[in-house]
Amino acid sequence: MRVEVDSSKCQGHNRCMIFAPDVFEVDDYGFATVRADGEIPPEQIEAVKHAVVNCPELAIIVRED
Amino acid sequence: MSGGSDVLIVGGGLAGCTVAGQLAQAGRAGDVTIFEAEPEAPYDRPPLTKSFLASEDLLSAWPVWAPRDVEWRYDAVDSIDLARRAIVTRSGEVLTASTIVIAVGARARILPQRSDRIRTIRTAADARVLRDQVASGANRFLIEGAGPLGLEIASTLASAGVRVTVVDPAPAPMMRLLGGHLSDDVNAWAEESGVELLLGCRVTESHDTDSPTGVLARIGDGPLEAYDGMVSAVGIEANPLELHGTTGPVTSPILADEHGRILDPEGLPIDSVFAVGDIVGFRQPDGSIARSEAWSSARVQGEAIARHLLGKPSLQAPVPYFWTRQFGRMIQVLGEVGPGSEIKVAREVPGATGKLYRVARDGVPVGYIGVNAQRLVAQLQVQGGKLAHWRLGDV
Ligand SMILES: Cc1cc2nc3c(=O)[nH]c(=O)nc-3n(C[C@H](O)[C@H](O)[C@H](O)COP(=O)(O)OP(=O)(O)OC[C@H]3O[C@@H](n4cnc5c(N)ncnc54)[C@H](O)[C@@H]3O)c2cc1C
Ligand code: SF4
Repeated sequence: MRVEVDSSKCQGHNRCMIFAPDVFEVDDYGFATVRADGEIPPEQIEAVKHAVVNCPELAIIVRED
Repeated sequence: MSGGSDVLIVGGGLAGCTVAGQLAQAGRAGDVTIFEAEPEAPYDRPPLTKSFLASEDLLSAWPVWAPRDVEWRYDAVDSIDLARRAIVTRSGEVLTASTIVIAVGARARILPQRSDRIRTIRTAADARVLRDQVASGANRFLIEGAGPLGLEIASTLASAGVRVTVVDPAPAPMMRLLGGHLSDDVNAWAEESGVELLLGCRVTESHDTDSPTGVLARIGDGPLEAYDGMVSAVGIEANPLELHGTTGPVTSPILADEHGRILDPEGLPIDSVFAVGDIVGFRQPDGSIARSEAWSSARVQGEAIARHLLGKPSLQAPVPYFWTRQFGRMIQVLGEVGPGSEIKVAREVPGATGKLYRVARDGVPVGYIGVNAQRLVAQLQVQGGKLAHWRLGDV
């Protein structure tokens, strides 16, 4: 499973960082980026799902591969 | 009487969907039925007053937080017997359930003696009407209410070339949200966007004109002026719903305990009946009851109810969060920064105009306001890569 942030939608609410701090970080402008290569480690899947539904801009995309 | 859904959710907005979605994710989708009054697939409300209003965008239906795999019934619920956990729907159906979640939200309030041409924005249908009005050439609007919603509407309409006047009796914009702070800044943003912001005064008279949407209105003791349209954004009131089966009337907004269980008139939780979202009130330090009216609050409350129903331990709630986007700014509020607090700049965004403000009451930090300071707000909330159980004084 992979995760990415749609930078055209992200507005920098940082909810993703609150709910999955090991997966997301913010850039210099406060917008979210995904740490490492976007592959979600199994122990982070629940946290990422939690971040997805708590992003007010619906900007987090998870893909099953 | 037909029988029992396991969990019956009344209202399929963000709050109801959050409870339903969390249950569905835990494998309980088959136990959940949502009753929704609006004949429209679920959508998100915050964009309505922001981008949507001045765009040709379609509304994105079924946002990620809305579960498709539960049973959706597009029928309103008229009354609920809280003791027997029985509902009566508009189409006359009577159902019982082992758990009921009340998530009917709120509707826009309109002040008395207003022309029935006055518009509000709570639903997608409302936003479409206003958008069509603007698209068909209406270009002078009067907005009543300088809260976050009124100012978002003003900002979006102004960006579409509409001349906007905003009127509010409060001495400062977004008084309830910002407690009077940043008043000069908001006034300056409005002015630079060409929005006329009139504080400390009210609409004293309004009449219909001959044009289909036009309104003649008087502000204070000024002259009657013609507007192509008028929008009310003066706050919300609970959606009507008849509740019985308790020894006395349930409060409105509804009071609930930390798991979301409704409190009866004696203040005791009612078994297996929950309330969530904009219908819920919280007891304030001064004894009054106020709604939180925030997107993140509906999520946090909904998740707490789902965890309770799933027998999971409750989580520490994150600090309250609200945002509004207006006049090209992102304003983020953490904690409670209402009236009677003091404000000072905590940090400035290097090389830009953004600022993070710290707000305190009697010297004790109570919250933060960020203006175009997303990174600083993020740093506040997450420290060292961990969810900050931060104390407001730490930064
Ligand atoms: C235009 C707008 C902009 C906003 N912007 C922001 C923002 O920028 N930031 C922020 O933090 N918050 C914002 N909010 C607030 C946030 O959207 C609300 O707090 C949130 O929608 C509350 O969710 P809810 O499910 O409690 O209520 P609602 O979203 O109102 O959902 C309640 C649902 O119940 C249904 N219903 C009502 N009565 C019945 C009945 N009798 N039977 C069955 N169904 C019924 C309604 O049709 C509705 O779908 C905004 C709200 C609006 C309206
Ligand atoms: S929660 Fe959504 S909008 Fe906010 S920073 Fe994360 S991805 Fe961006």
